[in-house]
Amino acid sequence: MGECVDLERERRFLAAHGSTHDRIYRYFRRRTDGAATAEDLSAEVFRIVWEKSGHGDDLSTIVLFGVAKNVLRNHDRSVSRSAGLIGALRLERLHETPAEGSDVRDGIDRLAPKEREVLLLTYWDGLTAVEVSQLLNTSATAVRMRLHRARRELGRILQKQAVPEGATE
Amino acid sequence: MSQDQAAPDLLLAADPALTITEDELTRSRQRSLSFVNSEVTHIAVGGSVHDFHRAPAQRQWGRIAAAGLAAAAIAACAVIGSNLVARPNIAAVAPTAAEATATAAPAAPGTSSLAGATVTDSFGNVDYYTTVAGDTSAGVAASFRITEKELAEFNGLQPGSALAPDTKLRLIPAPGPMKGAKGTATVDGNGIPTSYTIEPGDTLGGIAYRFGVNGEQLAEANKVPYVYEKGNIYFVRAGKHIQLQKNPVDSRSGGGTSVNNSFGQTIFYTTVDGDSFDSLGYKFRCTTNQLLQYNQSLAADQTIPAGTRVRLIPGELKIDGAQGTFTADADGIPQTYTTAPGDTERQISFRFGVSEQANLGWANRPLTGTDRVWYTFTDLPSGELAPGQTISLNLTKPLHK
Repeated sequence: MGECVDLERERRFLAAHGSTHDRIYRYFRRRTDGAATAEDLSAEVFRIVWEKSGHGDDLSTIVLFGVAKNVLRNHDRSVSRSAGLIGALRLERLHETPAEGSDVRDGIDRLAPKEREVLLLTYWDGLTAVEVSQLLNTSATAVRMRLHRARRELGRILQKQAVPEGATE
Repeated sequence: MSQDQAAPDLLLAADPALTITEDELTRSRQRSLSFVNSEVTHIAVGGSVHDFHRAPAQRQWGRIAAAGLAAAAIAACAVIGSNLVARPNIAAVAPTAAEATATAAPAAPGTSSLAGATVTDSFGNVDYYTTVAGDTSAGVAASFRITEKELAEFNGLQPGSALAPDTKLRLIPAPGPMKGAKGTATVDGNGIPTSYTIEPGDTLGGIAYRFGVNGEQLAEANKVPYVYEKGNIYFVRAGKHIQLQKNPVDSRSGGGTSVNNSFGQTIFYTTVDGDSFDSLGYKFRCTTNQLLQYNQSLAADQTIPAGTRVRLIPGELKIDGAQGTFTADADGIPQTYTTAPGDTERQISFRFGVSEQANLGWANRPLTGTDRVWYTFTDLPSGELAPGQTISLNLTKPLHK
Protein backbone atom coordinates (compact mmCIF):
# COMPACT_ATOMS: atom_id res chain seq x y z
CA MET A 1 0.00 0.00 0.00
CA GLY A 2 2.75 2.41 0.90
CA GLU A 3 4.64 1.55 -2.23
CA CYS A 4 4.41 2.96 -5.73
CA VAL A 5 3.68 6.51 -4.81
CA ASP A 6 4.11 9.37 -7.20
CA LEU A 7 5.75 11.70 -4.71
CA GLU A 8 6.58 14.30 -7.30
CA ARG A 9 2.92 14.70 -8.21
CA GLU A 10 1.88 15.01 -4.60
CA ARG A 11 4.65 17.47 -3.89
CA ARG A 12 3.57 19.70 -6.75
CA PHE A 13 -0.06 19.53 -5.76
CA LEU A 14 0.59 20.29 -2.11
CA ALA A 15 2.82 23.20 -3.04
CA ALA A 16 0.09 24.65 -5.25
CA HIS A 17 -2.50 24.04 -2.55
CA GLY A 18 -0.40 25.61 0.16
CA SER A 19 0.37 28.74 -1.80
CA THR A 20 -3.01 29.34 -3.39
CA HIS A 21 -5.82 27.76 -1.37
CA ASP A 22 -6.55 30.78 0.80
CA ARG A 23 -6.62 33.10 -2.18
CA ILE A 24 -8.96 30.80 -4.08
CA TYR A 25 -11.24 30.46 -1.06
CA ARG A 26 -11.38 34.23 -0.68
CA TYR A 27 -12.07 34.54 -4.40
CA PHE A 28 -15.20 32.43 -3.95
CA ARG A 29 -16.24 34.09 -0.71
CA ARG A 30 -16.21 37.42 -2.50
CA ARG A 31 -18.36 36.19 -5.33
CA THR A 32 -20.79 33.71 -3.77
CA ASP A 33 -23.22 33.82 -0.92
CA GLY A 34 -21.61 32.00 1.94
CA ALA A 35 -18.87 29.97 3.51
CA ALA A 36 -20.45 26.65 2.58
CA THR A 37 -20.59 27.48 -1.12
CA ALA A 38 -17.05 28.81 -1.10
CA GLU A 39 -15.89 25.63 0.60
CA ASP A 40 -17.68 23.44 -1.95
CA LEU A 41 -16.24 25.37 -4.86
CA SER A 42 -12.72 25.43 -3.43
CA ALA A 43 -12.86 21.68 -2.97
CA GLU A 44 -13.98 21.33 -6.55
CA VAL A 45 -11.09 23.49 -7.77
CA PHE A 46 -8.52 21.39 -5.95
CA ARG A 47 -10.11 18.18 -7.11
CA ILE A 48 -9.58 19.40 -10.66
CA VAL A 49 -6.08 20.60 -9.84
CA TRP A 50 -5.25 17.16 -8.42
CA GLU A 51 -6.30 15.61 -11.68
CA LYS A 52 -4.30 18.16 -13.64
CA SER A 53 -1.28 17.44 -11.49
CA GLY A 54 -1.44 13.85 -12.74
CA HIS A 55 -0.97 15.03 -16.29
CA GLY A 56 2.04 17.15 -15.47
CA ASP A 57 0.16 20.38 -16.16
CA ASP A 58 1.38 23.77 -15.02
CA LEU A 59 -0.02 24.55 -11.56
CA SER A 60 0.85 28.21 -11.21
CA THR A 61 -1.36 30.60 -9.29
CA ILE A 62 -2.86 31.98 -12.43
CA VAL A 63 -3.76 28.53 -13.74
CA LEU A 64 -5.54 27.84 -10.46
CA PHE A 65 -7.40 31.12 -10.71
CA GLY A 66 -8.39 30.10 -14.22
CA VAL A 67 -9.85 26.87 -12.87
CA ALA A 68 -11.61 28.81 -10.13
CA LYS A 69 -13.07 31.17 -12.70
CA ASN A 70 -14.53 28.27 -14.68
CA VAL A 71 -15.84 26.55 -11.58
CA LEU A 72 -17.51 29.79 -10.54
CA ARG A 73 -19.04 30.21 -13.97
CA ASN A 74 -20.48 26.70 -13.84
CA HIS A 75 -21.79 27.37 -10.37
CA ASP A 76 -23.43 30.60 -11.43
CA ARG A 77 -24.96 28.87 -14.40
CA SER A 78 -26.53 26.18 -12.27
CA VAL A 79 -27.71 28.79 -9.80
CA SER A 80 -29.37 30.80 -12.53
CA ARG A 81 -30.93 27.63 -13.92
CA SER A 82 -32.64 26.98 -10.65
CA ALA A 83 -33.46 30.67 -10.34
CA GLY A 84 -37.11 29.93 -10.82
CA LEU A 85 -37.07 27.84 -7.67
CA ILE A 86 -34.65 29.25 -5.18
CA GLY A 87 -32.12 31.32 -7.06
CA ALA A 88 -34.31 34.38 -6.99
CA LEU A 89 -34.43 34.12 -3.23
CA ARG A 90 -30.68 34.11 -3.01
CA LEU A 91 -30.36 37.21 -5.13
CA GLU A 92 -32.98 39.01 -3.11
CA ARG A 93 -31.23 38.17 0.07
CA LEU A 94 -27.95 39.37 -1.31
CA HIS A 95 -29.42 42.73 -2.07
CA GLU A 96 -31.58 43.05 0.97
CA THR A 97 -28.94 42.64 3.63
CA PRO A 98 -27.37 46.05 3.93
CA ALA A 99 -23.94 44.95 5.10
CA GLU A 100 -21.05 47.18 5.89
CA GLY A 101 -19.72 48.87 2.82
CA SER A 102 -22.90 48.07 0.94
CA ASP A 103 -22.84 51.45 -0.81
CA VAL A 104 -19.57 50.48 -2.32
CA ARG A 105 -20.89 47.07 -3.27
CA ASP A 106 -23.92 48.65 -4.89
CA GLY A 107 -21.56 50.85 -6.79
CA ILE A 108 -19.51 47.84 -7.83
CA ASP A 109 -22.66 46.12 -9.03
CA ARG A 110 -23.38 49.02 -11.32
CA LEU A 111 -20.08 48.85 -13.15
CA ALA A 112 -19.82 47.23 -16.56
CA PRO A 113 -19.04 43.51 -16.04
CA LYS A 114 -15.66 43.60 -17.73
CA GLU A 115 -14.51 46.61 -15.77
CA ARG A 116 -15.86 45.21 -12.53
CA GLU A 117 -13.98 41.97 -13.06
CA VAL A 118 -10.68 43.76 -13.55
CA LEU A 119 -11.28 46.03 -10.59
CA LEU A 120 -12.10 43.20 -8.19
CA LEU A 121 -9.32 40.92 -9.39
CA THR A 122 -6.87 43.74 -8.84
CA TYR A 123 -8.00 45.17 -5.52
CA TRP A 124 -9.65 42.23 -3.81
CA ASP A 125 -7.74 39.28 -5.19
CA GLY A 126 -4.47 41.15 -5.44
CA LEU A 127 -3.53 40.01 -8.92
CA THR A 128 -1.11 42.07 -10.98
CA ALA A 129 -2.13 43.58 -14.31
CA VAL A 130 -0.12 40.91 -16.11
CA GLU A 131 -1.83 38.12 -14.16
CA VAL A 132 -5.26 39.58 -14.78
CA SER A 133 -4.48 39.82 -18.46
CA GLN A 134 -3.47 36.14 -18.55
CA LEU A 135 -6.60 35.13 -16.70
CA LEU A 136 -8.90 37.14 -18.95
CA ASN A 137 -6.93 36.26 -22.03
CA THR A 138 -6.29 39.83 -23.05
CA SER A 139 -3.37 42.26 -23.04
CA ALA A 140 -1.97 43.94 -19.95
CA THR A 141 -2.55 47.31 -21.60
CA ALA A 142 -6.24 46.57 -21.99
CA VAL A 143 -6.38 45.52 -18.37
CA ARG A 144 -4.78 48.75 -17.20
CA MET A 145 -7.18 50.71 -19.33
CA ARG A 146 -10.21 48.91 -17.93
CA LEU A 147 -8.90 49.31 -14.44
CA HIS A 148 -8.48 53.02 -14.93
CA ARG A 149 -12.02 53.35 -16.32
CA ALA A 150 -13.47 51.22 -13.57
CA ARG A 151 -11.82 53.26 -10.85
CA ARG A 152 -13.02 56.49 -12.36
CA GLU A 153 -16.53 55.17 -12.84
CA LEU A 154 -16.75 53.79 -9.32
CA GLY A 155 -15.50 57.07 -7.89
CA ARG A 156 -18.17 58.89 -9.84
CA ILE A 157 -20.94 56.54 -8.66
CA LEU A 158 -19.84 56.75 -5.05
CA GLN A 159 -19.68 60.50 -5.11
CA LYS A 160 -23.23 60.68 -6.42
CA GLN A 161 -24.39 58.37 -3.66
CA ALA A 162 -22.52 60.27 -1.00
CA VAL A 163 -24.38 63.52 -1.58
CA PRO A 164 -27.88 62.55 -0.35
CA GLU A 165 -26.53 60.38 2.44
CA GLY A 166 -24.21 63.07 3.64
CA ALA A 167 -27.16 65.46 3.79
CA THR A 168 -29.11 63.27 6.22
CA GLU A 169 -26.22 62.84 8.60
CA MET B 1 -8.40 62.60 -9.60
CA SER B 2 -9.02 62.51 -5.85
CA GLN B 3 -12.04 60.29 -6.31
CA ASP B 4 -9.75 57.99 -8.29
CA GLN B 5 -7.68 57.49 -5.18
CA ALA B 6 -10.59 57.24 -2.77
CA ALA B 7 -12.26 54.43 -4.69
CA PRO B 8 -9.55 51.81 -4.03
CA ASP B 9 -9.59 52.46 -0.29
CA LEU B 10 -13.35 52.13 -0.18
CA LEU B 11 -13.09 49.02 -2.29
CA LEU B 12 -10.66 47.40 0.09
CA ALA B 13 -12.89 48.28 3.02
CA ALA B 14 -15.88 46.72 1.27
CA ASP B 15 -14.10 43.42 0.58
CA PRO B 16 -16.46 40.62 1.71
CA ALA B 17 -13.43 38.47 2.37
CA LEU B 18 -12.60 40.62 5.38
CA THR B 19 -15.20 38.69 7.35
CA ILE B 20 -13.54 35.34 6.68
CA THR B 21 -12.43 33.63 9.87
CA GLU B 22 -9.40 31.42 10.27
CA ASP B 23 -11.72 28.52 11.16
CA GLU B 24 -13.45 28.85 7.86
CA LEU B 25 -10.17 28.83 6.01
CA THR B 26 -8.88 25.83 7.91
CA ARG B 27 -12.01 23.88 7.22
CA SER B 28 -11.84 24.60 3.53
CA ARG B 29 -8.10 23.88 3.42
CA GLN B 30 -8.62 20.47 4.93
CA ARG B 31 -11.59 19.65 2.80
CA SER B 32 -9.88 20.60 -0.43
CA LEU B 33 -6.98 18.34 0.54
CA SER B 34 -9.10 15.48 1.73
CA PHE B 35 -9.63 13.75 -1.58
CA VAL B 36 -5.91 13.32 -2.10
CA ASN B 37 -6.24 10.59 0.47
CA SER B 38 -9.77 9.47 -0.22
CA GLU B 39 -11.83 7.85 -2.87
CA VAL B 40 -13.85 10.80 -3.98
CA THR B 41 -12.05 11.48 -7.21
CA HIS B 42 -11.96 7.91 -8.28
CA ILE B 43 -15.31 6.57 -7.35
CA ALA B 44 -16.22 6.61 -11.00
CA VAL B 45 -13.33 4.31 -11.80
CA GLY B 46 -13.30 2.16 -8.72
CA GLY B 47 -17.01 1.86 -8.12
CA SER B 48 -17.95 -0.60 -10.78
CA VAL B 49 -16.34 -0.32 -14.11
CA HIS B 50 -17.99 -3.53 -15.04
CA ASP B 51 -21.49 -2.26 -14.49
CA PHE B 52 -20.62 0.89 -16.29
CA HIS B 53 -19.69 -1.02 -19.41
CA ARG B 54 -22.65 -3.26 -19.29
CA ALA B 55 -25.24 -0.74 -18.26
CA PRO B 56 -26.35 0.10 -21.81
CA ALA B 57 -27.62 -3.44 -22.25
CA GLN B 58 -30.66 -2.56 -20.23
CA ARG B 59 -31.56 0.39 -22.39
CA GLN B 60 -30.79 -1.47 -25.56
CA TRP B 61 -33.15 -4.13 -24.44
CA GLY B 62 -36.20 -1.92 -24.78
CA ARG B 63 -35.44 -1.38 -28.39
CA ILE B 64 -34.74 -5.03 -29.08
CA ALA B 65 -37.96 -6.04 -27.43
CA ALA B 66 -39.90 -3.48 -29.40
CA ALA B 67 -38.26 -4.59 -32.62
CA GLY B 68 -39.07 -8.19 -31.78
CA LEU B 69 -42.71 -7.42 -31.18
CA ALA B 70 -42.97 -5.39 -34.35
CA ALA B 71 -41.31 -8.16 -36.34
CA ALA B 72 -43.69 -10.69 -34.85
CA ALA B 73 -46.66 -8.58 -35.77
CA ILE B 74 -45.44 -8.15 -39.32
CA ALA B 75 -44.68 -11.83 -39.66
CA ALA B 76 -48.11 -12.74 -38.34
CA CYS B 77 -49.77 -10.43 -40.85
CA ALA B 78 -47.67 -11.89 -43.64
CA VAL B 79 -48.74 -15.41 -42.77
CA ILE B 80 -52.39 -14.55 -42.52
CA GLY B 81 -52.23 -12.68 -45.79
CA SER B 82 -50.33 -15.12 -47.94
CA ASN B 83 -50.46 -18.45 -46.12
CA LEU B 84 -47.19 -19.39 -47.78
CA VAL B 85 -44.29 -21.34 -46.27
CA ALA B 86 -43.59 -18.63 -43.71
CA ARG B 87 -44.20 -20.99 -40.83
CA PRO B 88 -40.58 -21.49 -39.65
CA ASN B 89 -40.17 -17.76 -39.74
CA ILE B 90 -43.04 -17.12 -37.39
CA ALA B 91 -41.81 -19.85 -35.10
CA ALA B 92 -38.45 -18.15 -34.91
CA VAL B 93 -39.81 -14.70 -34.19
CA ALA B 94 -42.72 -15.36 -31.90
CA PRO B 95 -40.63 -16.77 -29.01
CA THR B 96 -38.56 -13.62 -29.11
CA ALA B 97 -41.60 -11.58 -28.29
CA ALA B 98 -42.72 -14.03 -25.63
CA GLU B 99 -39.26 -14.06 -24.12
CA ALA B 100 -39.10 -10.33 -24.18
CA THR B 101 -41.76 -10.09 -21.54
CA ALA B 102 -40.27 -12.97 -19.60
CA THR B 103 -36.67 -11.81 -19.37
CA ALA B 104 -37.03 -8.07 -19.30
CA ALA B 105 -38.19 -8.05 -15.70
CA PRO B 106 -35.51 -10.00 -13.77
CA ALA B 107 -32.32 -8.10 -14.19
CA ALA B 108 -29.99 -9.29 -11.47
CA PRO B 109 -26.51 -9.38 -13.03
CA GLY B 110 -25.11 -12.80 -13.73
CA THR B 111 -28.40 -14.58 -13.24
CA SER B 112 -29.93 -16.26 -16.19
CA SER B 113 -33.40 -17.39 -16.91
CA LEU B 114 -32.05 -19.47 -19.77
CA ALA B 115 -31.94 -23.25 -19.70
CA GLY B 116 -28.44 -23.81 -21.08
CA ALA B 117 -25.30 -24.65 -19.10
CA THR B 118 -23.03 -21.86 -17.90
CA VAL B 119 -19.36 -21.64 -16.96
CA THR B 120 -18.70 -19.14 -14.19
CA ASP B 121 -15.47 -17.69 -12.88
CA SER B 122 -14.43 -17.76 -9.23
CA PHE B 123 -16.61 -14.75 -8.45
CA GLY B 124 -19.73 -16.17 -10.08
CA ASN B 125 -19.54 -14.03 -13.20
CA VAL B 126 -20.84 -16.08 -16.11
CA ASP B 127 -18.16 -16.22 -18.79
CA TYR B 128 -19.67 -18.89 -21.09
CA TYR B 129 -23.15 -20.08 -21.94
CA THR B 130 -24.13 -23.14 -23.94
CA THR B 131 -27.26 -22.59 -25.99
CA VAL B 132 -30.29 -24.84 -26.06
CA ALA B 133 -33.00 -24.99 -28.70
CA GLY B 134 -35.08 -21.83 -28.72
CA ASP B 135 -32.36 -19.45 -27.48
CA THR B 136 -32.07 -16.23 -29.41
CA SER B 137 -29.15 -13.87 -29.45
CA ALA B 138 -31.36 -11.10 -28.08
CA GLY B 139 -32.48 -13.28 -25.22
CA VAL B 140 -29.00 -14.50 -24.38
CA ALA B 141 -27.50 -11.01 -24.61
CA ALA B 142 -30.16 -9.55 -22.35
CA SER B 143 -29.83 -12.33 -19.78
CA PHE B 144 -26.15 -11.64 -19.37
CA ARG B 145 -26.49 -7.91 -19.63
CA ILE B 146 -24.45 -7.38 -22.75
CA THR B 147 -25.65 -6.07 -26.08
CA GLU B 148 -26.46 -8.28 -29.04
CA LYS B 149 -23.67 -6.53 -30.90
CA GLU B 150 -21.19 -7.45 -28.17
CA LEU B 151 -22.40 -11.03 -28.13
CA ALA B 152 -21.87 -11.28 -31.89
CA GLU B 153 -18.45 -9.63 -31.58
CA PHE B 154 -17.22 -11.84 -28.73
CA ASN B 155 -18.17 -14.96 -30.71
CA GLY B 156 -17.37 -13.87 -34.25
CA LEU B 157 -21.01 -14.21 -35.26
CA GLN B 158 -22.94 -12.16 -37.76
CA PRO B 159 -25.09 -9.74 -35.74
CA GLY B 160 -28.69 -10.84 -35.83
CA SER B 161 -27.96 -14.37 -37.03
CA ALA B 162 -29.88 -17.23 -35.42
CA LEU B 163 -28.16 -19.26 -32.71
CA ALA B 164 -27.62 -22.97 -33.26
CA PRO B 165 -28.45 -25.08 -30.20
CA ASP B 166 -25.54 -26.52 -28.20
CA THR B 167 -23.16 -23.69 -29.07
CA LYS B 168 -20.80 -22.51 -26.35
CA LEU B 169 -21.09 -18.74 -26.40
CA ARG B 170 -18.45 -16.45 -24.97
CA LEU B 171 -19.84 -13.67 -22.79
CA ILE B 172 -16.59 -11.81 -22.26
CA PRO B 173 -14.58 -10.15 -25.05
CA ALA B 174 -12.72 -12.44 -27.43
CA PRO B 175 -9.21 -13.34 -26.26
CA GLY B 176 -6.37 -11.06 -27.28
CA PRO B 177 -5.32 -7.47 -26.68
CA MET B 178 -7.90 -4.73 -26.81
CA LYS B 179 -7.96 -1.04 -26.05
CA GLY B 180 -7.18 -0.45 -22.40
CA ALA B 181 -5.95 -4.02 -21.90
CA LYS B 182 -3.19 -4.77 -24.38
CA GLY B 183 -1.27 -7.32 -22.32
CA THR B 184 -1.20 -11.09 -22.35
CA ALA B 185 -3.41 -13.21 -20.14
CA THR B 186 -3.41 -16.82 -18.98
CA VAL B 187 -6.58 -18.89 -19.02
CA ASP B 188 -7.46 -22.11 -17.25
CA GLY B 189 -8.86 -25.30 -18.79
CA ASN B 190 -12.38 -23.90 -18.80
CA GLY B 191 -11.33 -20.79 -20.68
CA ILE B 192 -11.61 -18.58 -17.60
CA PRO B 193 -8.91 -15.88 -17.57
CA THR B 194 -6.74 -16.34 -14.49
CA SER B 195 -3.90 -13.84 -14.60
CA TYR B 196 -2.73 -10.92 -16.67
CA THR B 197 0.37 -8.80 -17.24
CA ILE B 198 -0.35 -5.09 -17.45
CA GLU B 199 0.98 -3.19 -20.47
CA PRO B 200 1.67 0.54 -20.72
CA GLY B 201 -1.54 2.40 -21.53
CA ASP B 202 -3.80 -0.16 -19.91
CA THR B 203 -6.68 1.12 -17.84
CA LEU B 204 -8.59 -0.36 -14.98
CA GLY B 205 -11.76 -0.12 -17.04
CA GLY B 206 -10.17 -1.89 -19.97
CA ILE B 207 -8.86 -4.74 -17.85
CA ALA B 208 -12.16 -5.15 -16.01
CA TYR B 209 -14.07 -5.22 -19.29
CA ARG B 210 -11.74 -7.64 -21.07
CA PHE B 211 -11.95 -10.21 -18.29
CA GLY B 212 -15.51 -9.64 -17.13
CA VAL B 213 -14.67 -8.80 -13.54
CA ASN B 214 -15.28 -5.63 -11.57
CA GLY B 215 -12.90 -3.49 -9.55
CA GLU B 216 -13.92 -4.98 -6.23
CA GLN B 217 -13.33 -8.49 -7.53
CA LEU B 218 -9.92 -7.51 -8.89
CA ALA B 219 -9.05 -6.05 -5.51
CA GLU B 220 -10.06 -9.26 -3.77
CA ALA B 221 -8.21 -11.49 -6.22
CA ASN B 222 -5.06 -9.47 -5.62
CA LYS B 223 -5.56 -9.12 -1.87
CA VAL B 224 -5.40 -5.34 -1.97
CA PRO B 225 -7.90 -2.94 -0.38
CA TYR B 226 -8.77 -1.28 -3.68
CA VAL B 227 -7.52 -1.16 -7.26
CA TYR B 228 -8.44 2.33 -8.33
CA GLU B 229 -5.96 5.14 -7.90
CA LYS B 230 -6.29 6.51 -4.43
CA GLY B 231 -4.11 9.00 -2.68
CA ASN B 232 -1.46 8.57 -5.28
CA ILE B 233 -1.27 4.80 -4.98
CA TYR B 234 -1.54 2.89 -8.21
CA PHE B 235 -2.64 -0.68 -8.79
CA VAL B 236 -2.58 -0.50 -12.57
CA ARG B 237 1.12 -0.24 -13.40
CA ALA B 238 2.80 -1.47 -16.57
CA GLY B 239 4.68 -4.72 -16.16
CA LYS B 240 2.75 -5.84 -13.10
CA HIS B 241 1.36 -9.36 -13.09
CA ILE B 242 -2.10 -9.45 -11.55
CA GLN B 243 -4.52 -12.19 -10.58
CA LEU B 244 -7.96 -12.25 -12.15
CA GLN B 245 -9.51 -14.97 -9.98
CA LYS B 246 -9.44 -15.96 -6.35
CA ASN B 247 -8.47 -19.41 -5.18
CA PRO B 248 -11.09 -21.49 -3.42
CA VAL B 249 -10.93 -21.22 0.37
CA ASP B 250 -12.13 -23.63 3.03
CA SER B 251 -15.72 -22.89 4.00
CA ARG B 252 -14.79 -23.08 7.69
CA SER B 253 -12.31 -20.21 7.33
CA GLY B 254 -12.84 -16.69 8.60
CA GLY B 255 -14.58 -17.57 11.86
CA GLY B 256 -11.76 -16.50 14.15
CA THR B 257 -11.69 -13.50 16.47
CA SER B 258 -10.38 -10.13 15.38
CA VAL B 259 -8.81 -7.25 17.25
CA ASN B 260 -9.45 -3.86 15.69
CA ASN B 261 -7.54 -0.68 16.31
CA SER B 262 -9.33 2.58 17.05
CA PHE B 263 -9.45 3.34 13.33
CA GLY B 264 -11.60 0.29 12.66
CA GLN B 265 -8.92 -1.71 10.91
CA THR B 266 -8.36 -5.31 11.98
CA ILE B 267 -4.79 -5.61 13.23
CA PHE B 268 -4.85 -9.10 14.78
CA TYR B 269 -6.80 -12.16 13.84
CA THR B 270 -6.80 -15.48 15.67
CA THR B 271 -7.14 -18.27 13.18
CA VAL B 272 -9.53 -21.23 13.18
CA ASP B 273 -9.42 -24.51 11.28
CA GLY B 274 -9.63 -23.92 7.57
CA ASP B 275 -7.88 -20.56 7.58
CA SER B 276 -5.08 -20.20 5.07
CA PHE B 277 -2.90 -17.49 3.59
CA ASP B 278 -5.53 -17.14 0.89
CA SER B 279 -8.52 -16.91 3.23
CA LEU B 280 -6.73 -14.28 5.34
CA GLY B 281 -5.48 -12.47 2.26
CA TYR B 282 -8.92 -12.16 0.69
CA LYS B 283 -10.60 -11.24 3.94
CA PHE B 284 -8.08 -8.74 5.26
CA ARG B 285 -6.43 -7.78 1.96
CA CYS B 286 -2.90 -8.75 2.94
CA THR B 287 -0.72 -10.53 0.44
CA THR B 288 1.02 -13.73 1.50
CA ASN B 289 4.32 -11.85 1.37
CA GLN B 290 3.03 -9.21 3.75
CA LEU B 291 1.68 -11.84 6.15
CA LEU B 292 5.04 -13.61 6.15
CA GLN B 293 6.85 -10.35 6.82
CA TYR B 294 4.57 -9.33 9.66
CA ASN B 295 4.59 -12.79 11.23
CA GLN B 296 8.05 -14.31 11.42
CA SER B 297 6.62 -17.52 12.91
CA LEU B 298 4.69 -18.37 9.75
CA ALA B 299 6.19 -20.15 6.77
CA ALA B 300 4.91 -20.03 3.21
CA ASP B 301 4.94 -23.79 2.71
CA GLN B 302 3.12 -24.63 5.94
CA THR B 303 -0.52 -24.34 6.89
CA ILE B 304 -1.38 -21.87 9.62
CA PRO B 305 -2.34 -23.77 12.79
CA ALA B 306 -5.72 -22.92 14.31
CA GLY B 307 -5.39 -20.51 17.21
CA THR B 308 -2.49 -18.56 15.73
CA ARG B 309 -2.64 -14.87 16.44
CA VAL B 310 -1.80 -13.36 13.06
CA ARG B 311 -0.63 -9.78 12.79
CA LEU B 312 -2.21 -7.96 9.85
CA ILE B 313 -0.21 -4.72 9.96
CA PRO B 314 3.57 -4.19 9.96
CA GLY B 315 3.42 -2.99 13.61
CA GLU B 316 6.73 -4.10 15.09
CA LEU B 317 8.25 -4.36 11.63
CA LYS B 318 10.02 -1.10 10.88
CA ILE B 319 9.29 0.00 7.34
CA ASP B 320 10.70 2.72 5.12
CA GLY B 321 9.39 6.05 6.32
CA ALA B 322 8.27 4.69 9.70
CA GLN B 323 11.40 3.63 11.56
CA GLY B 324 10.47 4.84 15.02
CA THR B 325 9.38 3.07 18.20
CA PHE B 326 5.86 2.63 19.51
CA THR B 327 3.89 1.63 22.58
CA ALA B 328 0.90 -0.70 22.63
CA ASP B 329 -1.72 -1.65 25.19
CA ALA B 330 -2.31 -5.13 26.60
CA ASP B 331 -4.26 -6.18 23.50
CA GLY B 332 -1.41 -5.12 21.27
CA ILE B 333 -3.28 -2.08 19.97
CA PRO B 334 -0.75 0.64 19.12
CA GLN B 335 -1.06 3.71 21.33
CA THR B 336 1.78 6.14 20.72
CA TYR B 337 4.63 6.42 18.30
CA THR B 338 7.94 8.26 18.50
CA THR B 339 9.13 9.51 15.16
CA ALA B 340 12.53 8.75 13.66
CA PRO B 341 14.34 10.80 10.98
CA GLY B 342 12.74 10.47 7.55
CA ASP B 343 9.35 9.28 8.82
CA THR B 344 6.31 10.27 6.79
CA GLU B 345 2.65 10.45 7.81
CA ARG B 346 1.70 8.05 5.06
CA GLN B 347 4.09 5.31 6.06
CA ILE B 348 3.33 5.68 9.77
CA SER B 349 -0.35 5.33 8.91
CA PHE B 350 0.39 2.22 6.90
CA ARG B 351 2.59 0.64 9.57
CA PHE B 352 -0.14 0.90 12.20
CA GLY B 353 -3.22 0.30 10.12
CA VAL B 354 -4.53 3.86 10.20
CA SER B 355 -7.14 3.54 7.49
CA GLU B 356 -6.99 7.14 6.37
CA GLN B 357 -4.05 9.41 6.81
CA ALA B 358 -6.48 12.16 7.81
CA ASN B 359 -7.43 10.06 10.85
CA LEU B 360 -3.87 10.14 12.11
CA GLY B 361 -4.14 13.90 12.03
CA TRP B 362 -7.40 13.77 13.93
CA ALA B 363 -5.76 11.82 16.74
CA ASN B 364 -3.19 14.60 16.92
CA ARG B 365 -5.25 17.70 16.38
CA PRO B 366 -4.33 20.81 18.34
CA LEU B 367 -7.04 22.26 20.56
CA THR B 368 -6.14 25.84 19.72
CA GLY B 369 -4.96 27.53 16.59
CA THR B 370 -5.70 26.63 13.04
CA ASP B 371 -3.22 23.90 12.25
CA ARG B 372 -4.47 20.48 11.17
CA VAL B 373 -2.03 18.70 13.48
CA TRP B 374 0.28 19.82 16.23
CA TYR B 375 3.28 17.73 15.24
CA THR B 376 5.87 19.45 13.12
CA PHE B 377 7.30 18.61 9.76
CA THR B 378 10.78 18.90 8.34
CA ASP B 379 9.30 18.79 4.85
CA LEU B 380 5.62 19.61 4.67
CA PRO B 381 4.92 18.76 1.02
CA SER B 382 6.16 15.18 1.36
CA GLY B 383 4.71 14.86 4.87
CA GLU B 384 8.10 14.19 6.44
CA LEU B 385 7.94 14.60 10.20
CA ALA B 386 10.49 16.08 12.51
CA PRO B 387 12.13 13.23 14.48
CA GLY B 388 11.69 12.68 18.21
CA GLN B 389 8.00 13.61 18.48
CA THR B 390 5.67 11.28 20.35
CA ILE B 391 2.31 11.19 18.57
CA SER B 392 -0.94 9.38 19.20
CA LEU B 393 -1.91 6.28 17.25
CA ASN B 394 -5.26 5.98 18.97
CA LEU B 395 -8.31 7.98 17.94
CA THR B 396 -9.92 7.49 21.33
CA LYS B 397 -6.82 8.76 23.13
CA PRO B 398 -5.80 11.75 21.06
CA LEU B 399 -2.79 13.84 21.99
CA HIS B 400 -3.19 17.55 21.66
CA LYS B 401 0.43 18.24 22.65
